[in-house]
Amino acid sequence: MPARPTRAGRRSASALALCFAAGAAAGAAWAAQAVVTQKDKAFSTQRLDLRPGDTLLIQNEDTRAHNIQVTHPLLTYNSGLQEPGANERIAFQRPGDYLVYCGIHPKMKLRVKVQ
Amino acid sequence: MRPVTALAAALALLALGPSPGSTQADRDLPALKAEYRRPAEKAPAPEDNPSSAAKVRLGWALFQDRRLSSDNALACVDCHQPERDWQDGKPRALGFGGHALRRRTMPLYDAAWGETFFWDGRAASLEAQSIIPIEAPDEMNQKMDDVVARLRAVPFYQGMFAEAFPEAPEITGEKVAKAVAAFERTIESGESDFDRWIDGDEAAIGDAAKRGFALFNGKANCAQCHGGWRLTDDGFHDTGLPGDDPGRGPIIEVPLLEHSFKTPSLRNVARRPPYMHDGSLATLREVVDHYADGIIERPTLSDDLKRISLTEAERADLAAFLETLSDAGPPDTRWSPFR
Repeated sequence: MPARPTRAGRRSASALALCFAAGAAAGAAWAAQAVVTQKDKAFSTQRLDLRPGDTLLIQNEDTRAHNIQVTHPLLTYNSGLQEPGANERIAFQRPGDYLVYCGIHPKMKLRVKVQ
Repeated sequence: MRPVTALAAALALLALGPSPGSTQADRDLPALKAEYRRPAEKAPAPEDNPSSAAKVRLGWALFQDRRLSSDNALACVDCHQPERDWQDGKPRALGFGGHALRRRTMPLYDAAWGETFFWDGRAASLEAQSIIPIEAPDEMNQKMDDVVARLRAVPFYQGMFAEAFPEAPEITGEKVAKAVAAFERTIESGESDFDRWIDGDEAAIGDAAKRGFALFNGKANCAQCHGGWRLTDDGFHDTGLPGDDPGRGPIIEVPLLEHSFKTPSLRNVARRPPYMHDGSLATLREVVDHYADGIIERPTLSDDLKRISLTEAERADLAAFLETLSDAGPPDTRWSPFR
């Protein structure tokens, strides 16, 4: 069962909460930031549900560099070399099923469902 | 000292050694061995290309058919020879006109579990992979339309495609790719002495190999990329070999990935020399020596490539371990529509 991210870093978890609070107060559509980390050649989760406009923050907590890629008719993304400690942000504007993967370690896959 | 005790002691010493990065050596031996256990499940296949006996038979026929090359001189099986464990024993593959390519013939064992294909990973599936050598000018140099026209003129292929694709038996390039891919997924390594040891038979491998396994997961750092039952992370690494082949770099448009190539599985590795993407190392011992002494320093080297120091005895132990990864031999491939 896909789930929204639960292993977010402390700072980002606060950011996510703030986004939710602001959206609720305004009574308007809100955009959230989901956080996924990379460690030991793995993403912290393999599936993620997002809404259009949400942002995915990918934090490299690994000892090695990674390369974030999305190849989709609605979204193409190539992070270049993502060094340890570096973050990548991807905004998902439109509904769809996206595969986020590492171009260096292709076993690292994160399926993002935007709806 | 009993072998298992000796190995546990070796692992314990490694855990206390000066290489704190060797985290795999910190785990207990049963947990470590579990990471190398073969899966019980059958080889996976994509939803849009499920396997069947008829499709595999067709794929094997196509794999052997030189009509797939423009000059009728090359079939897949000329480089991927079953009696040579699906490779050819050459440092670099021989392509169209007998000219040497720049890389070694790819290993095929357990390709069903692979993530990407070719040394640079430019194909994301076996279906995509199977077409590329056929159409590459320096390999089989054939156009898929011409392949299809040739196959349609062969009576036995009409029946074989109908059996393999009963819902739509017309011969097409897509079905050629699917059948070849379905066949390639049947190329599985068999049980080795190493597997029997992993499953609890302490006598299946010798003490030198057990010490080699400890080194493989510890001081020698091999498991950083060659971990798991297929002994590969399916990743891309610059392992410090000389040469100007850009490898993975241009595929993902990341210059610091130049000189990086896919980690090959080590299943049956002892029977499959020469080694590395360029076939430049003739023996397993030369491979071990390269990682200890031969790495060329450059900015693209893999983050996982630690500089190691190995004694003569340790190098021999690692080679002994690698020898245990061989199964009983290539499968029976005597069936052929051409014989």
